[in-house]
Amino acid sequence: MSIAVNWLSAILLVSGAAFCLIGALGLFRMPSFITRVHAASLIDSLGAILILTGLMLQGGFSLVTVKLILILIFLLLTGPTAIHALTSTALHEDASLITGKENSSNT
Amino acid sequence: MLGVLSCLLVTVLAIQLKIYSKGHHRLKINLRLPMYLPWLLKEIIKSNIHVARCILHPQLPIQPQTLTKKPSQKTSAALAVHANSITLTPATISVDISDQEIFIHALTDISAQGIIDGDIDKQVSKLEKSLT
Repeated sequence: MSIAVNWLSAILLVSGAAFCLIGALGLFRMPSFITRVHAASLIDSLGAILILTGLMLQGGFSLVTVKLILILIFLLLTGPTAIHALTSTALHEDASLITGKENSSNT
Repeated sequence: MLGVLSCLLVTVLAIQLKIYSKGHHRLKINLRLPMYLPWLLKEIIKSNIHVARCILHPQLPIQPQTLTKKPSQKTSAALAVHANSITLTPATISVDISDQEIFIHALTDISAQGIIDGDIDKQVSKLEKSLT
């Protein structure tokens, strides 16, 4: 494997890890339920895309890369579905979680 | 072996819950899709950097707000693509779809403005037109 591909893969992996770390930090810093979901969506969008793309470059043209592409497709399909299930349940249980009136009572 | 077992379990559960659909939803791949996906990737990267900047900013400059958006798509598949694209880009979440309206939660004023401008709506409409 050429050095350029190795370096590109390393850059992708490190920046993906950085986005995952920022997302985790956001989970702690954000003030309410829905804003925490926003922070978490950082992890399963660009965090997953960058890390899996970096791993694909390590895999080269092989079955491993095909599996990684499938994992990426499934993650990009299930991520929004999970977020939608979470937030719509919250909306039907307690609408103030979504509409933001909880800021005065929760803090 | 475990994979086969869990696939069977999911199938049995889906049949018992009756959450499978009668209609056929084929994944149509055409010339428009390879143009839509890179555009979506660009939007995801842009809004990821925006949210990351908000998280790392000491004052946490967020303006959480809700808004509704009338999508211009007709088919349910295109509506699903629209809603999922909104959720997939951070800083905007589509919470609910009811009566041809998408109920959206936005993290900041800038992301809310992006929804109001309707860039995703336009792109998905182009995608839908090429499908039908």
